[in-house]
Amino acid sequence: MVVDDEVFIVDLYRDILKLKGYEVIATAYDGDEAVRKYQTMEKRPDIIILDHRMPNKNGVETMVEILVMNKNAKILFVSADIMIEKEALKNGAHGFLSKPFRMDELVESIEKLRHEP
Amino acid sequence: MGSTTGARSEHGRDENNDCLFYLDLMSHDILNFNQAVLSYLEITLNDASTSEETRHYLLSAIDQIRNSSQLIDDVKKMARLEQVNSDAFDTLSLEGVIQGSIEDLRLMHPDMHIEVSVRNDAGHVNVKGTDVLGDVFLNLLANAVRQDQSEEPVIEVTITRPKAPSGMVDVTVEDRGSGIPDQMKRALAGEKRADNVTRKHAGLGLLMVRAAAKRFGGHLIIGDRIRGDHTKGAKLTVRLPEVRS
Repeated sequence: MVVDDEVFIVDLYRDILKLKGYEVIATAYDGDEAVRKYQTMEKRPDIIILDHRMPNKNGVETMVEILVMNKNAKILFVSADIMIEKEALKNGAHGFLSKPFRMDELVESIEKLRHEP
Repeated sequence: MGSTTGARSEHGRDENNDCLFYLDLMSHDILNFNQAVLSYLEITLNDASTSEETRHYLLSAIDQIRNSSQLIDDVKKMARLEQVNSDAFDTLSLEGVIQGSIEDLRLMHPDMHIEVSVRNDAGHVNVKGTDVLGDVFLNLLANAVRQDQSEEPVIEVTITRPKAPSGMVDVTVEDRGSGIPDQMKRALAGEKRADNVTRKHAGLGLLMVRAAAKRFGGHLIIGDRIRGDHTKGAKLTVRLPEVRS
């Protein structure tokens, strides 16, 4: 699942992830939408790629609500704001990438999360 | 009079906060744009049908995207550093910070063999600073790599205590690049804001090093690796106050 308020960034993730053999099963363009979609999903994603600076609900707030619904949700926090890294990891993010990241870094982070218990 | 001064000061703070707000907004959006440009360049680079010549162009474009992102990071860090009260500085192991910067340098250049030697004549030293101190040394190291035209850059880092003044520690980075001409040395060492020419040639990196060193209670010393011959490479020293326990 990909959550970012910039349409071109969501499209970018979709392009990269498809190229690398992953499937994006859901997208959301703000924190509220992400929480609502996650709540009603029949098949939940293996990993959520989550932006921080979004309207309605920021990434950390979104992550906390998702973790209340499913404490095992794996969240990769990706932000252009490196100041948020500590707060994201403290609140339950499994990984953090700062923008701009290389594609290899994204794939490595996803694979690391996939193999975490 | 007091209230006028107070109002002016308040006004100045508001203006400063506005500037920081717009800087933050702009840098956040540009980093997002850079993300898209970088990734699509990488996708094209990894396409099997891309010719060697085109790959060369793409790699150059990727380098510039990295430079642009680094520039934004540096400006943000400098702006943030000004906001942090020195009472909030952490006590940091100097050698630990330097080793972290060397690791970051290698991550920045995964395909390049960079020979970095560290000689520590000062033993275990603590200094006051923030995470920006790591960026200070990373900037010096990255600058040394940029200046060195060889495929396997050689960088020497030394940690020493100067004879005077006491209570200080020097971290010196020497490179084998084209060096820094005397005129630019004077401009970089000056207290005044650097002029446009200096800014263009020295880049923001060294100006950031200078500003951060000053913020942490020290300063930047600029010299030649071979004294008197700037063409043989630069010798950049960050002098910082040592924290004694």
